[in-house]
Amino acid sequence: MPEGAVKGIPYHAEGIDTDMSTDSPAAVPTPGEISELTQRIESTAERLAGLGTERRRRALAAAAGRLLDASTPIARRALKELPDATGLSPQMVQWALRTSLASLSAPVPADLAASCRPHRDRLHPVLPRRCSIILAGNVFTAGLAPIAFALTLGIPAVCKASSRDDVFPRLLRQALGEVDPEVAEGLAAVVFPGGSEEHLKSLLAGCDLAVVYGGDETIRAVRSTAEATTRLIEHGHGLGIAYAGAAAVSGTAEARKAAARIALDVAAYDQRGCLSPMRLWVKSSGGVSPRRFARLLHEELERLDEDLPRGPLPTEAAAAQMQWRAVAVVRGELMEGRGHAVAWTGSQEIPLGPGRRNIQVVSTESAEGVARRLGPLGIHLKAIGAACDEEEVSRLRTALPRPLCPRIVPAGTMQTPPLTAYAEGAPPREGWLRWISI
Amino acid sequence: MTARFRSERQAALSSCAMAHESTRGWENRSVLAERVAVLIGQMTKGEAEPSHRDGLLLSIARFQARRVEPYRRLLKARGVDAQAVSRLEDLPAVPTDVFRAARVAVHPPSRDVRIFRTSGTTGGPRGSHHLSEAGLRLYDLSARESAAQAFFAPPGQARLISLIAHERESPDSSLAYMVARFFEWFAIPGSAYVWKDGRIRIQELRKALDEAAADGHPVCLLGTSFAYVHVEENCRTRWRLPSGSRILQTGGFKGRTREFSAEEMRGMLEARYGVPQEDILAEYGMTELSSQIYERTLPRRLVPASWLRVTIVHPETLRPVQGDDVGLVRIEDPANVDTAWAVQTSDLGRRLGEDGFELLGRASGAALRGCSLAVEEALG
Repeated sequence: MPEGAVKGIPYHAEGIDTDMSTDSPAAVPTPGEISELTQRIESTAERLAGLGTERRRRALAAAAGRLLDASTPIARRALKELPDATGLSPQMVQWALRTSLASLSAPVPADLAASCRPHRDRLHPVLPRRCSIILAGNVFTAGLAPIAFALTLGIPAVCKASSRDDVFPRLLRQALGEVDPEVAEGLAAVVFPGGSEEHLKSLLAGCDLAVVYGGDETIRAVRSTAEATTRLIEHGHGLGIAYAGAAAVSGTAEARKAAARIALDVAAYDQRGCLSPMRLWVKSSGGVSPRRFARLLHEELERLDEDLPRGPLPTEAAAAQMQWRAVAVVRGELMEGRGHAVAWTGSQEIPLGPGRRNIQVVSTESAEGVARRLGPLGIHLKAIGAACDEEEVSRLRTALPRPLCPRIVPAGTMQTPPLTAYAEGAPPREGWLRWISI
Repeated sequence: MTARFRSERQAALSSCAMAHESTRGWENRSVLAERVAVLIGQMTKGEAEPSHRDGLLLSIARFQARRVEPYRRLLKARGVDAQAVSRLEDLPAVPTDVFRAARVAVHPPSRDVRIFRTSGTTGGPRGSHHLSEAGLRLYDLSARESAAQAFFAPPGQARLISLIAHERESPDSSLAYMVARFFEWFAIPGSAYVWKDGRIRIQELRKALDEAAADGHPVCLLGTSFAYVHVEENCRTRWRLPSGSRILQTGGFKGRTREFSAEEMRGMLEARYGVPQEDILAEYGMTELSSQIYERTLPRRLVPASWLRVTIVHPETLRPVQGDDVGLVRIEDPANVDTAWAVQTSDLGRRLGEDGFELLGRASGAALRGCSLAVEEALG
């Protein structure tokens, strides 16, 4: 084994296309091996910072390019392995890669770059020595933002992938290694069993910053294991909702366009993500009735059943779907397609569906009416996809009860936030840097 | 004849027709209930064939298709005409979540004599099972016959010790109701409830079991999984209960805290109470059913009473799976003549042997359920 390599962690010599087939998964590293790995990654901090923001950004963009270029072995491997690993269809995987990796090609936003510079000699940014990124498994591209953030800022990162799906972080790491091994040295991907306190402790030991994606249990485990000096950026369990307002229901053409955008939000990642809309409210007093809008949504989802088909349904999801659809039938009207269902229930709500492209449509009198219904979701409400004009967005936003702080975005864009999007009610860079104030 | 008179006469005729239909419908239901009672008796004695059961199930399904609105809607959504179908597997079952969303009953609320409700620990509305007088009689008949065969044989020999709340404390629990009936039918002097006022009285349990161990009188312990674990964590005494003692365990952990596998649970109970594992049996029931299913050993499997039909179905198509493939458990229960002749669960299972099946847990993501959770809440 080459010097510096850690058993179980794929090692990529510069410029070599190492076979990372998941046919032979790497052995789970021991806590001791994870400690060695974190120390090795941390030792790259100065070197990584010295490469400069622009070089690191170009490396990320080039890595993204390789993953999207079907002529490269790594892109072909991504398309071969990701569907099985993620449970998404090949078409959805392609869509996800295309839409998420595109953000790496953009220049570093001026405000992000500016926010990392000293301010009037009174405020000096201090980078973490190392960042731990703990990923969930429901949306395989979710790790892209924190990884890109870390490397763009020059922070070495160890990414703990979901045991359900570690293919994408490893492929990204490999792609970086192919285009710029020095940048790639600042990133490692590792997998260990969820619930292993010892492994988690090793990962978090001496870590300045931990970015955590996961449910309540994961967040609690990290909070209780992390050291008191570790800053946590938490992305807990979440969901989205959608609203079709007056503009969307003013006429059939507008309604169909809005329905198509909302359908994309529903279909993306098979409605498994924390930004996925789980319920759609439709304004009732328009040219197109909410029931008619539900039917249009059903037709658009049928189109996506062809273009972006749903992945295979695991048993648990099938059982939950079966139960939810039965409730929809007895409480309203169910429109079922090959890979989706739309439940129209008038003004009555039924329990939130299980995802997997099962969505309820409810009528509402106003944007304010929707906002008032959202209170119970609390900060779990991450995003609102709005098919309405600015005035209605403003009314929706004003009526949201505390402490709700979702992103409100145009319908059709819920699942493609830019890297610099607000999340959890906070600016994207919040928590990443500390500052020396003079 | 004036238009107004014609209109009023028509309204009166319609009203009479509905009343007649309603009365006739109720009479039909009474006839069906009687047929179910006869069937249970006959099948208990081996005097009726599965085909008799299946024919009756079909009659009940067709009756409920007309009388139970949620079922009518499910059939319509599936494009199924119950009157035209001749195979039970072509008729949809009612998924358990429907019992949370709607009233699933042939009879109006005025005829409810008992309402059983699910534990209500999932945060959503509780499912409810509405029984009329005749429905409750069938419940009792089915519970008595199956328990007598599967667990209390021979009945009247053992003291019952219940770690399950009395029905006074849990009036809407079907499990508490069933255990209260067991006490009426099978208990002998010395039987006792050790669950009182929301908790297990460890001292009283200890006293009852010490007495049994001392005087050699067998006991039947009745408890939920979580209750047994609670005793395990709060009591160090071990017993060697007299020969003939049995333990009934119901309710699992449903993916929540302190999980034990079935084997671990039996091992724990054997070690604590000195009851051989072949005398430790699980019971599988639910609020939405009127009948229960008991384990048999050698080999260990759940064996439905002969008047029930259990199928393992594919989670997406809901059609029967092949062989011993894993799927979701579907239960057809003629004693549910009041409500839903077939119930679709989200419990994973597979066929085992000629006559049984095993549970493989819950398809997680489906709503958690079960009386064991209510116990967990009370015990904090």
